[in-house]
Parts: sequence; C-alpha cells; structure tokens
Amino acid sequence: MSERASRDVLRDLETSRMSWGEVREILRQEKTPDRFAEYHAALAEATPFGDDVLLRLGEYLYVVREADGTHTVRCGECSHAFGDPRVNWKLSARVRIRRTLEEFMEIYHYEEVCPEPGIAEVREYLCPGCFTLLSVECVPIGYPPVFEFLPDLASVYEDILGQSAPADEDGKWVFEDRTLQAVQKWGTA
Amino acid sequence: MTGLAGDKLLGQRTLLEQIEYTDELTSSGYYYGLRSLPRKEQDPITYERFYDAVHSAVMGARETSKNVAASPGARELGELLFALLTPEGHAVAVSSGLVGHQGAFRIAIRYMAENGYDRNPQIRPGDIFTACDPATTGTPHPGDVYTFVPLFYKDEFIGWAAGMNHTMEAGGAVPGAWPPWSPNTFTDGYLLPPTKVGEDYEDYTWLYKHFERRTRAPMFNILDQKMRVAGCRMVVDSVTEAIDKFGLDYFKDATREIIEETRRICSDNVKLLTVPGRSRFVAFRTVPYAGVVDGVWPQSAKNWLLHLHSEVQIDTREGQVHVNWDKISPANWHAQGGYKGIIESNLWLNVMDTIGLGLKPNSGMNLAVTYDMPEGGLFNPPNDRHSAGNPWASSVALFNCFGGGLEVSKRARGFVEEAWNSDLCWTGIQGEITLKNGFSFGFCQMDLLGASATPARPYMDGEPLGTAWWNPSSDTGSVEEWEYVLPGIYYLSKNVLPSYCGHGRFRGGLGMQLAFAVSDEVQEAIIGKIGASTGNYFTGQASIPGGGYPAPTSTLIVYRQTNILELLRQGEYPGGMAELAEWIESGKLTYTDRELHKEEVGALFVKPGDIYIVAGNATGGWGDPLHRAVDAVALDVKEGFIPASVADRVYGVPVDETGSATESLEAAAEARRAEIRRDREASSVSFEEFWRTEREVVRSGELPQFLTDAYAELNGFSPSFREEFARFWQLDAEEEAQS
Amino acid sequence: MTTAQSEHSQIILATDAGGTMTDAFAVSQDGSFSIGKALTNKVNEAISYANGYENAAANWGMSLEELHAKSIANIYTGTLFLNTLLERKGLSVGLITTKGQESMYIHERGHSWLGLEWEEVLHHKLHHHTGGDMFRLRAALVRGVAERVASGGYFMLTEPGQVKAPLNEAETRDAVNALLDEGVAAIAVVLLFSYLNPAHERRVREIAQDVMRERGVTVPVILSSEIAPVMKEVQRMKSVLMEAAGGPIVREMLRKVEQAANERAYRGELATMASYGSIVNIRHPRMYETILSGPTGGLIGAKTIGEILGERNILTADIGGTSFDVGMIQDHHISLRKEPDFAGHRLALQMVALDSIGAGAGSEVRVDPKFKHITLGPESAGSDVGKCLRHPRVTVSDCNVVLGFLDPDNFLGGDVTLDREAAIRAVREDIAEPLGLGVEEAAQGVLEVLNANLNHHLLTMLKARGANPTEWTMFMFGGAGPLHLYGIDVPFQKVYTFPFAAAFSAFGVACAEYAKRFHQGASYIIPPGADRDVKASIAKAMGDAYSALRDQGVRELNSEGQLATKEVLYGASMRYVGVLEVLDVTFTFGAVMTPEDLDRAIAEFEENYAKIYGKGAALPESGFFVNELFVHVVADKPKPRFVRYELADPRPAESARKGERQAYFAGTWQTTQVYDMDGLVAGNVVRGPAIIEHPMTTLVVPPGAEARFDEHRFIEYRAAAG
Repeated sequence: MSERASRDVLRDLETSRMSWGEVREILRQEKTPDRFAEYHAALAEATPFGDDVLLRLGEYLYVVREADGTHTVRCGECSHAFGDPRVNWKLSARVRIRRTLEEFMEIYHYEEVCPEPGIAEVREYLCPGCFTLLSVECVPIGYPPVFEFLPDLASVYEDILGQSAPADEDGKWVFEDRTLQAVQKWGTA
Repeated sequence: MTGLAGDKLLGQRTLLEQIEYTDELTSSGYYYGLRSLPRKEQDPITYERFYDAVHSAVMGARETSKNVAASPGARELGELLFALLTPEGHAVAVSSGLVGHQGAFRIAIRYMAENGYDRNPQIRPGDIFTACDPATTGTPHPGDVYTFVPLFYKDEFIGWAAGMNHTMEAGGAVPGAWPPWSPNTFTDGYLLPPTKVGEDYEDYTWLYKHFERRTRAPMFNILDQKMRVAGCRMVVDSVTEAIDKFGLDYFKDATREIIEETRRICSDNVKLLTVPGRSRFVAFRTVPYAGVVDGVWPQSAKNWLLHLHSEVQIDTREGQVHVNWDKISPANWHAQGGYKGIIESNLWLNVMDTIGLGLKPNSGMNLAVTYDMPEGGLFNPPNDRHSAGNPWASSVALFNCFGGGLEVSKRARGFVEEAWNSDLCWTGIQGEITLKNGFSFGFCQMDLLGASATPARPYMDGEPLGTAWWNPSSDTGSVEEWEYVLPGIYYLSKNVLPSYCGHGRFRGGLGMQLAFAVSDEVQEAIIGKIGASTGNYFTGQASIPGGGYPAPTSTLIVYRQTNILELLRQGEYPGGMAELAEWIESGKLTYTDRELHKEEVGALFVKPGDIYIVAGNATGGWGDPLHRAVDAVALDVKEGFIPASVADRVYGVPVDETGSATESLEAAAEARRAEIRRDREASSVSFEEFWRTEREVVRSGELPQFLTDAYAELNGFSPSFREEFARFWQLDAEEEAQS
Repeated sequence: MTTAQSEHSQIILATDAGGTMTDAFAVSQDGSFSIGKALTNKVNEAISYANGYENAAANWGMSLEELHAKSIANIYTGTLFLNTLLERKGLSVGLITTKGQESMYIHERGHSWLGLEWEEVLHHKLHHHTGGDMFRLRAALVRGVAERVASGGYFMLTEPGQVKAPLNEAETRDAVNALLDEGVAAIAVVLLFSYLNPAHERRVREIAQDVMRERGVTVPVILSSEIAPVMKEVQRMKSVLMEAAGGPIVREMLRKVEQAANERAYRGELATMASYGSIVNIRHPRMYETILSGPTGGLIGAKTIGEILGERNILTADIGGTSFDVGMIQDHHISLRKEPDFAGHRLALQMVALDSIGAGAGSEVRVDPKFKHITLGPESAGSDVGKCLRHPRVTVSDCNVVLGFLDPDNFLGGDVTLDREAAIRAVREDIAEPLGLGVEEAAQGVLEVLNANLNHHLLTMLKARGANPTEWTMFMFGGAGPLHLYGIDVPFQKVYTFPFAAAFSAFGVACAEYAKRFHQGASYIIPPGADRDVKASIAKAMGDAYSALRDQGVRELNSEGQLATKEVLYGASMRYVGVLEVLDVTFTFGAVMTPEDLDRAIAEFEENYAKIYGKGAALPESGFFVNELFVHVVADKPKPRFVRYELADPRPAESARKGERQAYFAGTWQTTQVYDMDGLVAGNVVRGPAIIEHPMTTLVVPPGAEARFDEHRFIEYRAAAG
C-alpha cells in the first residue's frame, strides 16, 4: 500500500470504487502488520465515532470506546448503542420473523429453494435506531440466536495495539460470554 | 533381499516406531521438534531450489498422468492430486487439484504401520498400495481413492509418493460416488482398506476384476488406478533425481524443515491477520431417511437434523486457532457422518485460503489448528461400522462455519480484501443409466461440483461458477463432453438462475440451473442429488459473516411423463425453470406428477419423457440490500440477473423489466427504501418480545415432532448445548427433560 | 551487418508490430540482416511499417522502394489483434447459441483462474471471470434458439450429429432481429455439437441473411462449425467471439499495410503468422488463428536451424525482459497445444505449445524478510532496466551488473550507461541484508532462482512427453538468452545460442513456411476386434473427410496466390474408448483411405501413447476413438539461407578481444576476457571465464565452459575440452 494513502485505499475498496484490476493488486500485496492502524484511521473517518472506534464487529456494528472507559457495540449508521460486546448484540436488536412460504418467497423468489415452513424460520435482525438489516439467521424454530463474534478486547489491546488492557467496571476486562446473564434479567414472568 | 523390506525399514525403527518417534518430537509444538531451520537459514537459496525440485515433481506427475485417466472427474475437471510424503505420510509438497487430501494421507500410512504392513505384506520398491475405506485410510468417502508407492533411495525407505482422485462410481447401495442413502459401512460401496494391489508398478489383475464386479463404472475406475500408479511412478523418478543432485541427507533434513516452515508461517499469519476472540457459526441439514430403508435397517428409519456448529477460538499471542465442535450432532446411522480424514482434508482447505497465504502448501498447515471433535460426534463415530457415504456435504457446511469465524476476524483486523462470506458450496448429480441396448453404467456429473459461485465480499458481488476450494483449478466440464460420456440424457439448460442468491449490499454469486430431458434412448435411469449447497430445509448457512441473506437451498425437481420428447421433435423446449413454469401454466408442457427434493436423494427412477432440474451453488449476500448501489440494482435487472419485482421488493429500487425508471431512479429508490424501513419497523418486535413468544413455543411443546426429537438428541449428546439451550430459554428441569 | 547494397537480394521482410515499437527485420539471401525500428502508429500501422523499413533499408544504403523491389516475401506479425480485444475496441458482437446455454459467456465452465500462477490459484479470492468483458457481451446481445443435435456418444447408440430437435426458425428470426436492433456489427453462432453436424448453424446464417436483406443491412455471420469445428462449446465460443470481434479490424489494418508495401514496389502479397507456426495470407478466413503470431517465430527459427544441424528434438527457451517462453520441437515438428489459455480465455485453437514463465532478465526481485523467500516478477522494469538505471525496484539486471556479467558502460551497445554503485546498493539493501547474505552471494542466489525456474520448466516439458534430455538439444535465444545460458544444468545432448539471438524471433518469422491447418471434429469408434467391413466403412468416411479438407486447403492456398502445394500432412486426434484425453498423431503414411491405413493409424497411435504414458496405461481392449481429423497443407515459400564459412583457427583473432574485467563465478571474483561477438568467426572457440558482447546481447562463458562458433557461426556452448 505504498502508492496511495492506505486508509484511502481501504475506504475506496469498501465503497467499491475500485476496478477488479486494483482489487487484484491489493490482494496480491504482502500483508503488513500496520494494517490494523491503517484500517482504524479509515474507520475513524468513515464512522460517527472518530478515534473512539476500536474494532469493526460486522458490516454495520462497531466496538466503540465510551467516555467512561467502557466499550459498547454501536451501529455505524445511527450510533444506536447495543451494549456490552460480551453480550450478543442480537438481544438488543429488533427482529422480524419470517415463517410462511409467502414470507420466504419475498426473499428467495422460488418456492423450490425456500426454507421449509413449519421447521425453519428466518430472523432479520434490525437496528432499532435506523432499521438497517444487521444480520439474518435461518434456523430451526426455537434455536437460540447465534453469537457470531465475541472479540477478546483485552488481547486486542495487548497483542495488537501494544497497550495495557482496559479496565471495566469489574477491573481488568474479562473475556467471557455474558449473554446468558443478560437473558436472565428478563425473568420468567 | 537388499534390505528393502521387513521390520526395520527405517534403520533401527519399524514404520510404527518411526511414526511414534515423530509424533513425540512434534508434541513439542514444532514439527519434528525443529526449533530452528538450519538448512534454510544456512543457505536459503539452495533450500528454495530443493523445494522447487520436489514441487515440480508432483506438479509434473499430475499434468502428465491425468491424461491417462478416463474418468471425467480426473481428466476434465482435474479432480486428482499427487504428493510427496515423509515416511509417516506427512505431505511435503502437493500438486494442484484436490489439494485438501494431503491432510489425510497419513491416516492410511499409520494404519499400515499399526498393522505391521512392513512385515506383511512388506513394503518394497514399486509396490502399489491402494485404499478407499474411510474408517481406516483417511479417504473421506469411498469415491475418493488413494494410491501410495513407497519411495526408496539406494535401498533405503525414505517416504512415499501418493496419488488420489475422485472416481466416478463407488459401488454403494445407490449408484454414484457419494451414496447419500447408506445406513452403515456395508452399503457404502467397494471399500478397500490399505491393500497391496500390485508390485513393480503393475497392478494385480484381481484389482481390475474387483472394480468390474463391485462398481458400476469399472472402465473409469481401472483407468483411474492406472493414472494414479503412473503419476506415483513419475514422482518417485523425479524425486530420486532431485536426491541425486541435493544428497540424501539434504533431502531428509529439508523435507522436515519445509513442513515446519509452513506450520510457522500459518502461526505467524494468525498473529498478523486476525483479531483474538471467539466466533460461532452454524449450519443445519436434514437427513430424511424415514421410509427409505426402514424394512431392512430399522435403526435408520427416521429423519435427522444435523447441527453443524463451529466455535473458532483465536489466540493471537500464540498464533493458534482452535476449533471447538462440542455442540455438533452425534454420529448416527446415515451417510452424512465420517471419520478423521474428512476433518483433516477440510481443515487444510480452509486454512489454505485464510491463514495459509504465502507458504508452501503441505501438512504443516494441519498443525497450525487444533480441534476437539467429541467422541461419538458426527465425524468421530463410536465404532467403525458407521457410513461415510457422503461426509463432504455435511462437513463442507460445517467448515464453512469454521471459515466464517476466520473471515469475520480478518475483516475486523482490517484485511478487507481477504474477507468474504464463507459459504462455498457444491451440488452433485449421480446415478446410473441403462440404455435401450442394455448397456448400463454409473456416473457422477460434476457441472455443479467443478465450481461454485463465489461468495459476496465487503466490496463486490460473487460470481457464478467462480471457484471451488476443494479443487482450486475449478472446471465444470463442457456440455458436449458430458453428453458424450452420459448419452441419452439431454441438457435443456445450463444457465445462471436469476435471483438465485442471497441478497445484500453485495449479492452472492448466482447459482446455476441444470435442466435435463430423458430421451427415448434410455431404458431407465437412476438419478441422485447430493451436495453442500443444500441446507435442505434451511438456507445454505444459518447466518453468514456479511450479515446479508444466506444462500437459498438447492433443489431437484422432477416432472414425470412430460410431452418434452414431442416438443423436441417440433423444435421446442423450455430454456430453464422460469420458462418451464410458464409453459406449464399455459398448458404447453404437460406432466403427470411433480416431485421436489431439497434434501439429498439417493435414487430416483426416471424414464424417457421425464424432465429433471437441479439448481445449486448459490451463495449469500453481504450487508443490507437497501444499501446496494441503485445503478447496480438497475444493471442486475437489465442483465436479467434479478427480476424487477425483486429489485423493488428486496432492494427498494422500482424499475421496469429493462432496468429503467420513468423519473429519477435515485429519488424513487430513496422513497421506496424509506417505505421498506417503515415496513421493517412495523413488522418487527424487540428481541425480548420475540424471546417471550418463542420461549412459549419451546416450553409448551408446540414444536413439530421433528424439531422436538432433534433438540432432544442434541441435548442428550452435547452437555454444553444442553446447558446453553436450557439457560437461554430459562427452562425448568422438567421442560429441559422434555426438550 | 552493414554491407554494400548490391550484395542483398532475395530479401525477406518480417515485421513484429508491438503495442509500442515496430521492429522491421530484413534478411538477405546470404543470411545478413538489418533491423529498423519505429514507434507503432496505432491509427495506421502502414505508417509505422514504412518508417521501420525506411530505417532498415538505410542500414543497407537502400531506399525503401529498392528494399521492397528486392523482397520476395513479406510477413507482418504483431499484437494488434490482442490489443484490439484487450482495449475493448473490437466490433460489437451478438451471439446466437443453443437455447438454455445463454450464460456460457458468464460462467465459462468455471475457468476463473486462467492466467494465475499456481500460488495464486490457491488464493481463491483472486479467481475472477474474464467472461464476455473483452467482447463487450451482455445479456441483450446473447440469444438462444431451440435446436438439438445429438453427440452420438460413447456407447454407440445414436449416430453422431443426428438431429434431435429441428432448428426453431421463428426463434432464429426473432434472435437475429433482436441483435440487429441492438446494433451489432457481427453475429457469432455457436450451437451445441455443430462440429458433428453444421446444418443448424448454416441454416441460422441463411435466416440471418434473409432478415438482413429485408432490413437492408449487412453484418458478417460467423459460424463455429467453420471457424473452430471441434468439441467443447465454451472454447469454441471464445474462438468465434474473437474472430467476430477482432478479425475484420485486423484484416482491414493488414490490407492497409499491404497496400503501403505494394505502393513501395513490393510485388507480392502480405502474409501473417498463424499461432500454429505457419504463414497465412491476410485473406485467411480464420483471422483469430493469428492472435498469437510473434512468439511462434522463435520455434520456427529453431526448427529451421534444427534441420540444418540435423537435430530432430529441440527444446527452446526465449529469454526476454519479462518472461521466458519454453517451446518444443519433436521429430522436426513444433509441438502444438489444442486448448491454449490466452488472456484469461481458453480457446479452441491450435497454438504452438509455449510455456510462458513470468520471470525474465528485467524481473523485479522481491524478498520476504520474514520467510526469506526470493520471488521474481511478474512485474518487470522493461526499458528502465533496474535500480542501476531508473527503475524504482531491484531487478535481475541489477544482479547481473553486480556480478560483472553486464558492462555498465556498454549496455545495449553503449546507448545507456548503468550505475554499478546503485546496483550494488540495491542488491545489498533489498536482497542481501534481509537474507543475511553477502552482496555477491545474494546476486548469485537470485540468478540461481531464475535458473532453477528455467531448468524445472525445461524438465517438466520433457517429462510430459516421456522424453529423455540426453536425446535433446537446447536452443537458447532472446535478448537475455546468451546471458543466462550458463544456468542450464539439464543434461542435454547439445546447447546452442546464436549471434543474432536478440532478433531470433523475427528471423524465425522469416523462415516460416506457408501453410494451412484444418481441424474437423469427428466421432469414429473402432471397436476391439472390428472386422474388415467396419474398418472399411470408417476408412472410407475418414478418407472422404481428408480429401475434402485437403481440397479446401489447396483451394484456399490457390485463392491466396500460393500455387505450389509442397506437402500435405494428415493426422488425427485419437484415444482409447473411455479415455478422455486425445493424442494428436501425424501419420507417417499419409491419409487414411483403406482398412490397412486404419490399422497403421492405430499402430502409430498406440506407439505414441505408450511412449508418453507407459505401456501399462494402454487400453486396446476397449477399442479406439477418432475424435478429430486434421490436415496440414504446405506451400513453397522462399526462406533465408545460411552461408557456410571456412573454419578458422580456434583461437580468436586478437582484434576480437575487447579487454578484460572482473566477474563473479562460483563464489570468487575472476579475471574474465571480454570479446566482441562480431569479431568472432566460424571455427573460433572462446574458453571461460569469458564474456562475449554484442550491441544487443551478452554471452557469459563461465570457467570450465567454452563457446564454439561452428561453420554457420552458430554458437555451441559446452564443457571446455581437455
């Protein structure tokens, strides 16, 4: 990434402003360790979070450093906050469920290639702030949501950024899945 | 005897002792205990030249020997592989082709060692060992056949030449190379544990007679065997020349270093390319056996749901990837499970394109990833009587989930260009054709196996038939070649199927439709459909890294007793699924019966006048379709890749069938997209609300019996699944016991 | 090279018009030659053609008209065809194909990886379809028409080429109208199995012509059954699209060049090169066959010289700045490939079997410091040479300068001066230090990697033919061929290079014969133990087909003014029934006409098959299959001749010595004699360590080796005697 500022290259790539020839050259280039910093610079410009953006979690979701030192999953389109990255963000999303053949066919067009009504359901996870489609699941009815990516933030700081791991409310940031604790709060009314 | 055989092949060690010795050294975390690479460090240039020499040996063997092979899979599509192995069976260098298999070769070598093959039947120069029994040889399914020829240098045993290819017909209960209807190992086909099948580079006649009697494509299988032997011989000759030049000690040192070097690069790539953490992806498949084999195999008289769950743990400090398969379905009496070879092959394939960049592809890659496949799990059956008829289908779905974890992680690290939806897929058609003249033959048709659509990436759409990670030199063959090999079945179509993809800001690559008419030259034919692009009752993957819609399922549709032969005589036929539907609607095309199979099918009988359609190999989308560039949607409509109705409904771009709009398209799209967002708001609920209603379905036993059984099976097999399931839905002990 | 003009007669002109430069090569009957260069005029190549030869003529003290008046043959090759397509400047083409196959141009049977290196093939994200892009094809320009022709098939049930569904004429009319509505400038027709039965494709053309008559327009209609009547529809389609999009444009440009030559007193017709290594007239109906014209010259030159030297089996390596091309001549025949990959497309085309490796004398050198790999190319410095001149990255040339092989003050005859210090600095910083090596060691290592690549590719090519290197002779040429000659360590029988190595390809073009090659898809099955009647009927059918192809060849040659047919070769692509790979066999006895001929054909096929794959691979018990027939019709054409010199003393004349300098051989700096190539005569033997310089190339002779100039002044490179 020597010819152009690499963060511009990354931005152009993601906004698909590149020809296949340019994409191919980027694919062929040697992967270098400075990429994380370059990408961070690109994201700082492209998202509402500036330098507070830490990590891209998915197409629209980011782990963002908050003023109080904690980390929150936020939507890059509208900044809506989804909470602790250790809790599956899907718990804080809106969800649209498709269960019938007609509903499936809106998306999959041909009856013959649709999921099976009565067995499968399609869940569209939407941002409560801007209703951007964040992720889609096609699972058996009754299947718990998939927690796609739980980053180990302490290691991100230590291994990649070369900084000490952040403290959260409990002291040193602990790498664990807290989804089930979050569900617990809904109680069993 | 010039010390060529017997129990001290390797100086003072037996083959088994050598394997154990190497395993012990490798348990240090470094292959063969190599903490440094002295040959490479002292003279990197000679080291590279040496690798070039052994690598070109296996490449040359592949390029030349495949011309011997008859089977279209090997010759036309390059579904074959040659490799140079260490004495323990670790691959040093591999050719192009079915590259993943190198990860599995060592399983057969270990089996031979454990069973004292060095004493009986002995291992001597020019001996040919062939194997295709998944339980003992590492070959993933019986259609993959491995051949090994020992490599001797001046009477010293120093390694193996290995050759493999995907054959046309395995001789199972149902025809084809991947029998999907196979309750146990006895119906899988002609299974050969590692067997000495020839000497002095010449096969014993009995082997050909076995192929003739026990498989449905003997001529192809015989020629494939000849090809593997010819190629192994070329490897032996070329490597011997290289040793003449570089010296035997150099060979012994450098081959070990090449493997360790690869392991290190993989490990360094983990540190360089990924973000530490945990990712989970899952795929589901159904295995409907109820009513298929009930009378003879009652243990298989049921329908299963396969839970193909991968949890990937990345440690960037150690440069280690660990895969946890603790939530996978148990092995059972169907053909979708397998043995260790399928894991090692798939593992290698997924490493190659993720953390395997910039290295010498070999067994070192398998060492960079550790995994837990629980005892009794789908690919670690409790005994060797389980079928491995078609583990590629389920395992590819499982490994897409593994790959998905790495893709998410690479994107997070900023390697945007290297990220895509890991949902590559394949569909195979196989069966048996009996012509009117009585001639009968088994086949695999690999149009949709030779290449899959490429998945959507964060920066571009996927494309049709773009790649095949099990065979990087992808090729689907030509219609003219397939019809020549499989006479009597006519293609009505081999085209992309519009809108057959997962939608998103970037589309998945469109899948393909194949439509066939059974001609009156055919007495009767059996067809089957298998593959990984089918999620059966689900989409290809449950969810994908890009967050767009996952790929639709694949399908097989049969129309019985149509008037197609009459239409053909009049110079008319439907050119694909859409037109076929129109002709049925208008009465132009008539039929008596229609069958639809999203799942794998082992044997459907078809007759002259029948039409069957197979669609497969679609991939999923990346991002929200409402974010897709408006002009890209309009172009898709113009090119016929999506219909205007989909452009409007899914993408919020109202255009006519030519891709144009009367007013400003941007403005129209903006308005339509706002409307869709409002609709999303109105038709969605908070997750908590969804959780409450879904929980009631789970708790109240309103689930269909199929799912109740499936959850019960998983809860019974996987303690970690049971715990998460129960805690997530907050089930009490009684409810937990029920589900 | 400059001699009095009166000596030059019977001149042959051979032009290589590249995208940037046009090389005009004139060779006289006595073997002397002159080269002129001009910037290629892309709008009108007739202008650059004339400029180039004005230049070449001036070297001989002639006018352009004098040169042309004395010329007896004029061959024009170049990259126009390729560039027209690559720059998407071809004609707008509409495609009519069998209904249900309309997306053939999109899916390309999965060939998304053509043109990638092996490591890149393993990197799936680099796979990408070239698709219809080069032809600007899009959905609206592709129309399917219902029709079906049967394959015949393998198990002998249906007659090959039998019509299963008649052509739907209404759909065909609609298709033609739709394409004309889109404004296409040519219509390509590719129907399934048309190589077995062309009736439907021909009928499509008739209908198209009717429609065009009604509409009062004319565009060419090009049929796959006429352009490339062989199996595999996707490759056939690519060939037809190339012909339709590029053929008319190229032919028009060649006409302009011919006119320019004729206006300057050239009395003959202009010819060009087919990619199978023969000259064809510019009226040749299958222009796409000339798409790879230039690089074939080297092989033809090698074949010509091989005949003089009595060498039957020759491996050639053409080493240029960006790549080396390895080719093969076996039993005096140039090896051909049936399905070459070209610019990301797989074609149905007979093309000389050249393996191009993306590393050459100007290749950039990259070192991965972590893993200590050295990789070369594919990027190349071109005329920027290396860091020793003005290229931003270190190259193989820098290494050659560092080691004393290239003289910085005498590069390209002294036209440019190279900076040796810069080369040393570049090699040290960019290669030696990351690898932990000394500068000379590192430079030598880079050259070893290049040599190893070359040797492995030479060996692989031989092995694929089951050939033994000791029965083969190696010819090395190209601007950098003599420079890297010493790197060959395959045990060839003999190794040669040439004083005119840098112009060898152009020389070869001048040597090419005038010929036509025809391939016709077929489907003849000869069952095991077939009786005489079966064989007689097959032989008759083959004989009829051969006669027709021969007649077509003679007719085409006649119509192009090449009257005297010198030779007709017949052959077939054959396989054992069941085997998919065919083997091309050129029969030693002529055409198959009788059952006895058929037996001989089978015997020759089996003999060749066993040679390549070993006896164990044979499968005669399943019978034989003839998949394609081919005929090669050759006409007489003047060729350059070589003068035989008296052999002089082995010891070079003192006047040929330019001096001495230090060069790095086998780990030490050694005092090395430097000679002037043009001063060395037939009979001279130069012993290493020595360097022989020529304005366009440099020959390195390490210690222990010697270069002998034979009676034709061909240079045999060998271990030093005694």
